[in-house]
Amino acid sequence: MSVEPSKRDSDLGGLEQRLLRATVAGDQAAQMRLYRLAGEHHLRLGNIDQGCFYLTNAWVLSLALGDVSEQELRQKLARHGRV
Amino acid sequence: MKANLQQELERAARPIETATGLSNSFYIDDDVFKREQRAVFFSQWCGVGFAKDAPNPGDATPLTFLGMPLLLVRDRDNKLRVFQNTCRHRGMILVEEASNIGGAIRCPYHSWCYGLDGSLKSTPHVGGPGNNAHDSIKLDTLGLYEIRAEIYLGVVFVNIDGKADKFEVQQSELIQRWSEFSKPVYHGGQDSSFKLEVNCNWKLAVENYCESYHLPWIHPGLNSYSRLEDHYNILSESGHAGQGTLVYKPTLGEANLGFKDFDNLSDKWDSSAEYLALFPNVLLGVHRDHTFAIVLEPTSVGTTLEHVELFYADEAMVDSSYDNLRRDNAKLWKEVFKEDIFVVEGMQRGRQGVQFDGGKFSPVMDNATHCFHQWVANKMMHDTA
Repeated sequence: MSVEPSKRDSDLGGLEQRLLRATVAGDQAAQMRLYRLAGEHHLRLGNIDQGCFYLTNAWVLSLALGDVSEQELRQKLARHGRV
Repeated sequence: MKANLQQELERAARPIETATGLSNSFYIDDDVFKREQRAVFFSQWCGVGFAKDAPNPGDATPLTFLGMPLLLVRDRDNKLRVFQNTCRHRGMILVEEASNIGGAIRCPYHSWCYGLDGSLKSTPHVGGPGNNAHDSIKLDTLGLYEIRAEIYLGVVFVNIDGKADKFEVQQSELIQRWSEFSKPVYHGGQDSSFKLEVNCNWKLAVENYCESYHLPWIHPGLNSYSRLEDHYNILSESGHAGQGTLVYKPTLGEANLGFKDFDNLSDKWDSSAEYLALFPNVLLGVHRDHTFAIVLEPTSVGTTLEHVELFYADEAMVDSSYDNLRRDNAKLWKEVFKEDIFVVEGMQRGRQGVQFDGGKFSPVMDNATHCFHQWVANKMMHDTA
C-alpha cells in the first residue's frame, strides 16, 4: 500500500523513525504502541484504509504479546469490517 | 520392496533358533533408513523429547526429529501439546528458539498468529492491506497440525501419522508392569542431563541396552556386585524388551544417606531395578529412588544422539542439598553409558563387512535383541507405502 508522505508521518513526531528504532531494538511493545498511534491518527483524519493497516499491525503484535489491548484493537477493526 | 530385503526381514522375524539378525543394509543403507522413518517411527509412538523442556504455561520449544519440525507447547491449562512447527500459510518455521509465548505464536514471515491450542487467530492483511479476512480463508480449518502426544516417565512420545493405537493401549503391558512408578517424576536439573553422540545406527543402541549378556565384559564395575546371573530378561510382543536386576544398590552420599524412594513401592523394588527399551527409540530405567530416560535421536543412518535425563521421586531431591548426590548418580550412569560406546560403534563398523549376515542369536541370552529385530522386521514388512 502506498501512503502519501504528507498524510503519513508529519503529525506523528517522526513515527517512521521511531518505528524503525523499535524494530531494530526488537521492542514489540513499542512497535505495537506506535502502530496504534498511527492507526488512530489516520482514522481520525478519515483515512480508513491507512488507519486499518496500522491498527492491524498493532493488533497482531498485541495478540503475540498477550497485551490487554488485543480485544479493543480487534473491535476497532471489526467496526470497519476488517476482521 | 526389493525381494532380497523382504527375505532378510522374513529371516529376522523367524523364531530365535532359526532367525538371522537384521542384515547390514538395515544399519548402513540410506534408503532403508528413509523407509524406517515411516514404518518404524512415524507410524508408531516414538520419543522426541522431554516434558521438562516446556515446564511453564506459554513455553514453546522447537525440535527437529528425523527432519520433522515439531513444537512442544505448554498451553494455558498446563497441557503439553505437540504441533508441527510449520505455518499453514507458506510453510514457514514458526518458532526457531525456545521461548515463552506471552500471547500467540506469530509466524515471523507474514505474522499469521496461532493460539497455544493451535487455533488460527489472525491473518493480517490477507484480504489486502488493512483487510484481515477473506471468504476463502476459514480460520477454523487452518489451525496448526497437532501431533498426538503422551507423556510417560517424563518422556514426550508422539505418533506422527496419527494412526497408531492409543499409547496406553499399545503399552498397557508395560504401564501395568511399572504401575508403581506411574506418578510424577522430578527432573534433577542441569546436572542430571547429558548427551552422547555415537557413531552407530540407532538400533545398535537399542540392542545393546536390551541385553545383559555383555555386562561382565563391558561393565566390570557393575558386574562386581550385579552379576550376570542376577539378571533376567523381559520380553513383550507389544513393543518393549529389556532386562531386570535383582541386586540394585542405590547411590549413597555422606553418612550413607540416599535419595528418597518413590512412595508405596512393593518389596520387589527394594533390590530390583528394570531397564526396558520401548520400541522404537526410548530406553527407560526404573529404580526405587530414581528413573532415567534416554531418547535416541537418529541423526543419520550411521549416527545417533543419545539424550539422557535423570528423574527423582520427590521435588526435594532437586534441592541444592542433594547437588553432590545427584552429580554422583549422573556421573555413575554417564560412565556406564560411555562404556557402551566402543561396542555400538564397533558393531556399526563391523557391518561394513560384506560377509556379515546379520548374526546368529543365542536362544538363551539374546532374546531381547531378537524381540526387537522381530518387531522392526514386522513393522517394515507391514509397511505397504
